Amino acid sequence: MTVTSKKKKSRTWFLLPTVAVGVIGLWALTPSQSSFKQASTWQRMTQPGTLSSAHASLESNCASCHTSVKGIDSSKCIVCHANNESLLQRQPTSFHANIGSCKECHIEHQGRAHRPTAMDHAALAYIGLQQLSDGEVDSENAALRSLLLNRLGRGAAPHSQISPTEAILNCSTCHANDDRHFTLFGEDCAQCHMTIKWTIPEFRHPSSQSRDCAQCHQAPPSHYMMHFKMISQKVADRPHAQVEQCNECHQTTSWPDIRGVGWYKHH
Amino acid sequence: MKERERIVVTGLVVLMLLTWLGFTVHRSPRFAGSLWGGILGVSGAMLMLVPLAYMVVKRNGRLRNRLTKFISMRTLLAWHIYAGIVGPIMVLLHTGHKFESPLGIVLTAMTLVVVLSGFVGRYLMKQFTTEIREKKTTLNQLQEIYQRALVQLGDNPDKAHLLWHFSGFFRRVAAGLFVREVAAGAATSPTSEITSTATALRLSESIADLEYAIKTHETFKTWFAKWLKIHIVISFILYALMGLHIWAAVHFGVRWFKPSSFSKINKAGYFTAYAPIITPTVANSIRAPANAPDQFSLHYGRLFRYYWRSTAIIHGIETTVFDYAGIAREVGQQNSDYTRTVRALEEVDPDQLGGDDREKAFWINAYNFAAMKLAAENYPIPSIIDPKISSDDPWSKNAVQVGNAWYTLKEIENAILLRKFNDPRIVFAISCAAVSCPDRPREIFFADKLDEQLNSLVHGLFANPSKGLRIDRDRKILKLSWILKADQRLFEGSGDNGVVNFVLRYVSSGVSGWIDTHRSEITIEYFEHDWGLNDVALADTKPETATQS
Repeated sequence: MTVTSKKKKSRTWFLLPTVAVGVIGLWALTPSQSSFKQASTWQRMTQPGTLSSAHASLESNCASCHTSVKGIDSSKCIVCHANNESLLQRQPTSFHANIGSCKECHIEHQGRAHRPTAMDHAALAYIGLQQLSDGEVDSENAALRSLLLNRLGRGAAPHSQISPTEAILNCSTCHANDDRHFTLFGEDCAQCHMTIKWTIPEFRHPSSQSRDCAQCHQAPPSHYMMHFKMISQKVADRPHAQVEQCNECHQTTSWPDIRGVGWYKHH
Repeated sequence: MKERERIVVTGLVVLMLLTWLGFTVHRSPRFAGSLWGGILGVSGAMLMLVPLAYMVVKRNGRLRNRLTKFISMRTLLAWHIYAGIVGPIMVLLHTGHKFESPLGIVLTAMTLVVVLSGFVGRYLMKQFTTEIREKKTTLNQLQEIYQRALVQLGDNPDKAHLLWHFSGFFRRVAAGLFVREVAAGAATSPTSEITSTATALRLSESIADLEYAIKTHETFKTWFAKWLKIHIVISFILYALMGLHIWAAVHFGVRWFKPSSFSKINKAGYFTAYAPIITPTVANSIRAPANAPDQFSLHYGRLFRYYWRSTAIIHGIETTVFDYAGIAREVGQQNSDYTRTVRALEEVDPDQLGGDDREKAFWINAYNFAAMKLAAENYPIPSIIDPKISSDDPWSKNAVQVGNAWYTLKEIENAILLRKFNDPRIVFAISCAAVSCPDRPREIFFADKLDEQLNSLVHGLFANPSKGLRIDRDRKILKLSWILKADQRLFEGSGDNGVVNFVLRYVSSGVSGWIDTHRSEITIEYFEHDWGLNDVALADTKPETATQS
């Protein structure tokens, strides 16, 4: 009994070094230029999905984006993506100038066809909060941060389509130029709109019989010039229509749908 | 108890076998790297290390002897089994939302194989052993009966003769058909007297069947005898793969672990070239606080920091400066920090400021903003006493609206600050945007550190020999800031004596020592106050660093 167990033990102790020597020998015998010995081959084993087509050339060079331990380092993105003037000069995208944080929205390894751009308002709010704490130790920033976090904790959002996180953003900083209401409804778009699209499915236009159009709608500049008298009134055959009485000539289908004339577009 | 354990473990293994199919229900390529995915993965991996303990203790005699005093091997084995199944389930919950990387797929497969090998070894093997034992007892019984039957047959040669026909393979197969009819109902139990030839036949058949079954089971058993070794070897392969996976996760960056790379980028100043044109900063896109004084300090603070520039020389005087041209560009612009500061001030209710340091800091900031506003609205001007602002006295001109009322600089200074707060340092903190005013660090005043800020401000002034304090040791002249002379009434004691007492509190020991020893001999002089605007555009030398946020 003891003899056999001893034999077994010695066999194990013989086997282990043999395997180790075998592995090392195999490694040593492989030519150094073989793909087996390239770091990229091994790294590719861990790749969680292909890169988008724009980044495809970086596929086998993980270090072009990843920094050891730190992960995706924004400075590496900026090496190529700095000074994108058209992006930085547009109001809705100019926040990129000092956001300093790319990976939150530009998610990679989602396959060739995936274009890694998606506006994530919650991520923007998160980064903004982060910056309020990351920057200088200003008590005003800290105060604002705690105020916002407090607000977040209460879960305050103007309606169910907006998350409390999104609700702490100030819409007008980026979307002031999108405002079709000429700030008449204020600057807080999120009071009515959601972040995924501008249209509001719940909105129902007042009755087509309504005569209060001018309460919301503003006539184009041409209506305040001779054009109105010389063309508009004549085309619609409403010589006494006032500019504010939109419903006299227009219909709710669309503005060029003129009552009794049909689709009419002058220019 | 044992039966229950087996049921529970079998249930868990089945659950595990189903878990990896989770991606068919929920597909999320980023779950594994999220915080919750990470928690699942890390805790699962830690549980998967627990089974190692049993293996080590079992093989290390000394450790085993010492440990079994506290924990029985049975308990350790139970830990081994449960941790070895719950760990993989958690790990599969971590990874089962997608399968993309080769390493991930192999790791998952290996996890399943290792758990299955353990389960098969522990439960199925046992099943084989007990079954073989049971079958062997039955076989023994049957063989005994068979022997007896042989003896009886030997005593009845006519019956034995009957069997003669069935020697040979095909006849033997057919025997059951013929002999049974002859001996129907004869052998109801194996213990009754065996007289029928059919019984003998059937007995031999059963024995053959059993022997075959035992042989098959034993083949399985020998095949499985090596299971433990296989189990251990594949576990170690699994651990190696797990090590690679952890290395990869750490090397390529764990998403929820954030080193603060942001501040570094800003310091590198990648985008500062664009910063002046583009005002909506990210922090800007965060909603402002509801409370008006906070809103004021938020926007004024941002404006202040943004246009603050470090030390420059104007008219030979060293001073911190501001970019007034930049501030002037913000005047009248919707949503600029300047406009928001003005708007916030209009919302403030002066009666609700609280009376303490909060109110003091608020009015000091309001005064400074008002002076800045006068300069910005009338920019470019060489100084705040320029006739463009007011032909006689800029301090009596309505400068800023707080709440519903307009305030002049003089009103803020005399009717509010000096009347409510008996603090001579105030006159240093309120600045007419002039070169000779004290240098400002790059921050506005805050209630919670106001005292400290005021002290360092006065310290800073007396450390500046071009406008605050200069000693002529040969001629025994102490030259001081004009502000001390203008507001002499505020300092304790009369005339120069009160001024010197005040100064002594805010100068270095070297200076105060000199003043003390020569107090009776020194002559006090005052700098001429330079009202020039502390504007970066007027600087003789450009500031060294034009930092921007």
